[in-house]
Amino acid sequence: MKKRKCFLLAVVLLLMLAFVFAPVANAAENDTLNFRLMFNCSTVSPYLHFNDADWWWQAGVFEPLVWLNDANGTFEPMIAKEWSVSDDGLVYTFKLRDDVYFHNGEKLKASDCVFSYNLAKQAPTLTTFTSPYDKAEAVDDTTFKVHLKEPYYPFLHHSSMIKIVSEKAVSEQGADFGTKVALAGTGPYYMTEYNPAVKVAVKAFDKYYLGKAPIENVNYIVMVDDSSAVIAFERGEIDIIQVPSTYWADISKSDKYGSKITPRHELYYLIVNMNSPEQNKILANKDIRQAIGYCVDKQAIVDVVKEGLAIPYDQFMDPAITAGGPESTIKYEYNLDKARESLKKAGYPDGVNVGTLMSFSPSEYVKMAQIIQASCAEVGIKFEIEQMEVAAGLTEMRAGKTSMSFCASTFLLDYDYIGRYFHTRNDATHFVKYKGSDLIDWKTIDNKFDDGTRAKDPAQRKKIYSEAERIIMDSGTYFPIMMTSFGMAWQKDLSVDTSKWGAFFMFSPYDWAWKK
Amino acid sequence: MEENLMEENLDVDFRKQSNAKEIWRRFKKNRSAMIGLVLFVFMFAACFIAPLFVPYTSVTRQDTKNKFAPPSVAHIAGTDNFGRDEMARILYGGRMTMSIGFIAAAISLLVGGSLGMMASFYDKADNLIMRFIDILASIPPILMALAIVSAMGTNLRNVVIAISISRMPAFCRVVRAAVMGIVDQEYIEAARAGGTGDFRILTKHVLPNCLGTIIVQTTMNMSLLMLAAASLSFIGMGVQPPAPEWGSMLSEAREYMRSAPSLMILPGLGIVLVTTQLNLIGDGLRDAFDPRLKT
Amino acid sequence: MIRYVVKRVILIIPILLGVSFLVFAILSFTPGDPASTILGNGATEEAIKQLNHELGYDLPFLQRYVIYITDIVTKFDFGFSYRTRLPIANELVSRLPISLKLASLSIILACLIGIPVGIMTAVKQYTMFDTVPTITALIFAAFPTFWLGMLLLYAFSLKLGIFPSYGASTWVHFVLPVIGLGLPEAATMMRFTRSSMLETVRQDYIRTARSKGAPERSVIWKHALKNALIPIVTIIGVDFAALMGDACATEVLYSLPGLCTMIINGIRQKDVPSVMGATLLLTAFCSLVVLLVDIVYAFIDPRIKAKYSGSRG
Repeated sequence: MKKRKCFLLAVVLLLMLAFVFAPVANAAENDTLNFRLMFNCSTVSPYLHFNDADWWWQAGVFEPLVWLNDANGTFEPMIAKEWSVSDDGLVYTFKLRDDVYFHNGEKLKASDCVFSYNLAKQAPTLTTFTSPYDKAEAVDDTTFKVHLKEPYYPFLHHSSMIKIVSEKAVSEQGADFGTKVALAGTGPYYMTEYNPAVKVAVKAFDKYYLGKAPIENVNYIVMVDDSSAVIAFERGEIDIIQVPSTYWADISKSDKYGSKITPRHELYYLIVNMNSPEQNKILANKDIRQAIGYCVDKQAIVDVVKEGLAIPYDQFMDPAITAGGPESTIKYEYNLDKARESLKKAGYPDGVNVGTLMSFSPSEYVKMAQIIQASCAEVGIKFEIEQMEVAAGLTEMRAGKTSMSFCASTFLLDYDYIGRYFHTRNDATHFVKYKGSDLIDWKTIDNKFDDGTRAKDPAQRKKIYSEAERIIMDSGTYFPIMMTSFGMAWQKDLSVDTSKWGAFFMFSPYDWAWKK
Repeated sequence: MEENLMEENLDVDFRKQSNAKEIWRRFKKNRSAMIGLVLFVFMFAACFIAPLFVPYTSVTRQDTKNKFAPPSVAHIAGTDNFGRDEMARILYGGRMTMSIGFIAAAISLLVGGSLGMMASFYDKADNLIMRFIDILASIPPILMALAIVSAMGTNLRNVVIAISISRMPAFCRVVRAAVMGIVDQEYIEAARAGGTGDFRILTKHVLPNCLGTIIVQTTMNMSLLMLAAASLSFIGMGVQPPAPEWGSMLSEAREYMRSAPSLMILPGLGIVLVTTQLNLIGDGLRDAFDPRLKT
Repeated sequence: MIRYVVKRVILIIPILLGVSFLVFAILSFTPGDPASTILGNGATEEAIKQLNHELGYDLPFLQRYVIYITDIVTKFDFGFSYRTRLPIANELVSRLPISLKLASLSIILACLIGIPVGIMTAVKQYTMFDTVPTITALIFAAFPTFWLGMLLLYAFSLKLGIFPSYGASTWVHFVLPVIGLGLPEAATMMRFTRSSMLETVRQDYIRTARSKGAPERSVIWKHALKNALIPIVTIIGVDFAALMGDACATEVLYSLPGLCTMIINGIRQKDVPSVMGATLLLTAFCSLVVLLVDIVYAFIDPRIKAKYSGSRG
């Protein structure tokens, strides 16, 4: 009896031990750079839904025809050497380089571009970028034409978001494309491993048209948790990292690492829904909405939420680099006296309850919400903070049920891009429904955004858009809060060319090298 | 005549088992349980009497220019990432964490306990209820709570409901087992035969006899529920800000582990202390209710 | 005996069905849909509809559930992740070992510390060897695993730099998570072993053994321990199952790609197949472990054995 029990116990323990096989990790390679991804990857395909993580690693693997240099808002050649637009604004002609190879060894032809543009057209993720064009056409191997439905001057911005893939490589994979290693890009690196929750590994491509990349291997390692990622960086397990804002002050001060802040065209807004059903539609009162706008302490938000990795922002886009971007005429600076005045004008000098502010959890939004709540409370505007998961929150926002909420958006540097939030053709997914409302002159907004895309002259476009921006700003529905920045840090043995850094080209490892 | 005799026997039995004075005497003799109780009363009082001395505004009042301030006269425990007073947040946070534990334990006990009682009392219901409880119990509690919170929305009420449901199977099973033990006894059968109603049997005979088990179980589970609430908040699906809660304070502190490691000490310590105290009290109560089990 | 095992195995099926329905319902009645999360802020309504259709999310709830279950039963197909479009089965296969490793290493650590110390405290009751470990265990049992994890992370990764802070590729990566998860469990285990031992020591047969003049050492090691271990085995199994699910905060803290993080990410992103797959696997696994323990228990406990091996064979 005793023996049997001991035997059973031993079996149970052995069974458990059996699970504890620990395969030893592959030996570290010398010429390997490790980069941290903040999220799990979601796809290999540049056309399916993508998130920030995919964006980072795809930067070195897939390339568009032209590259939008967001430091100055101009375009620079990539796969296309040169390009032109017809006089009627309907046809874009791209002249392609003749020395571009895909990672599978095939030479890039105009037909691959046609294939890519058609594939992009089917992707729900890219509809914003693909909706202007009607069809793509290969004139010969190095000439590629895109036909638009109607004149649409921001088109080059959109084409910089459409990456080119190999027709052969993608067709071979068929429906599997996007889920496993694909040799379909033209970038300086090709994929060798794809494990969405763990890492993506890429290797320097010998036949890259600008010459082979200086660093042989790059591992993009998924590390969701910020603090453990920073610890890994400090231990040297990670070579280059986008520093989480709470660690920025510490890391950037240290002379052990190189670091740089790069502006990212990502704007955070406070959205105040004028149609909100809460509190007897109290937010239909414009003065109350504007009073809330004056309560947003942008500097405090930048300090607390972003620890300096952002700048307070008063307008939708930076007019210096944005095509068609106007100077804002109406701005909401943090001013509690003005807020009180506005509240008095609204007829609520003693304060008012405006319902709830919905924020996604867990995120910076929750912190922003607390800061706005505290300063609103000082003038007597009260609201609850409600946390939701992203999926549920977005649905509530789109249904127009939330009173106040946040939203962040990365902009292509053309003013038309923000039309997504205000032009009523997208009304179904808008967070504030303008269409049919008598609280705002939505028809003029629509007209201005329509006119803006048809106008060729930049100065004229600015004029058109300035009217749209005035109406929107005055309505007190969207309040810009801050423009965020990337704070990048890297180990000292790495030399990093930061001249090309920006939101859209996104840090291709091609510009990095080990110091000798 | 026979019934009278029965009742008398019962009363004797009842008196023996749940004589509050006797239990208290035994409990008092248990030194560690008494230490737990005294400390618990102290912490409980600190967190629940705090509002008399510290206004709620000091929990939410921000001073962003003065964040991560070290301890000073104005801020005994320093300030957090918004420049809010850490001590006030600890006190109010404790109130929140403990209240969640108490309320959730009460709900869990009420629902789970009634289900367990029904299961043990009515054979027909038994199978149905217990299979349902089996299903609930086979999902890990914290994941169950996560799913419920994400479905219903993250706020205090839903967090309490979610963790109550996730802990329900434990209560249900314990109460069922305890009641079963009593229902099988002859005097209950006799009472039934004598025509006493089910409700009366439950309240008069069954409940008093399994009260000990229930109280002990509730105390023990209260600490588990507090831990569960803190875990939820830690993952980011707990109480909504700016209301402080120990778990969510830890979650915030984790972001600032480097620049302000001291922020993660107090809330964690609070959880450990209260949980320890509840466990001590639970142990003490168990021994006091049933001295045969004394270890 | 076989009859008992078969009966218990069959009982797992309705439980899994129930769990799957419950979780599927909870997820489906949450507001929100996968496409609007995936497509983000500026998406058009057509794009959202199109993607939801591609993912099969536009079908009614019951139909989706029936399809889901039928696929599992007939083809052992757990579907595709809405987000990565990778088969869930593959992801489960790559994540299960990590969750298993974490839970089993933790339970082994807990046993290695908890059981011997528990026995020691029981044998040396009322001495220093009893009180010190007992008080320590009392405190550790109250530690939230995530707090202990944070403290360890701070001390050993951030300050001392001994252990890595993320990842699961080598055993070194498991040291901190296992300690963080295993220590509170060891404390619980110790407390349980102690009381189980003390209870056994008071039993009649131990008294008999003592009175027969058996040496104290043999009484403790031969008679008491043997019987005290039976309930401990049960606890090991039950706690092992519980640890798989309780590892949530630990997995989040150390970025371990286990089943719990799969569920949390899935819930956040409305990735129903991910959540379902991981939950079902965890549930099935836990049920199996509990079943295994019960069977072992039935082997040992003569009463259950008698019930099933009697006249009914």
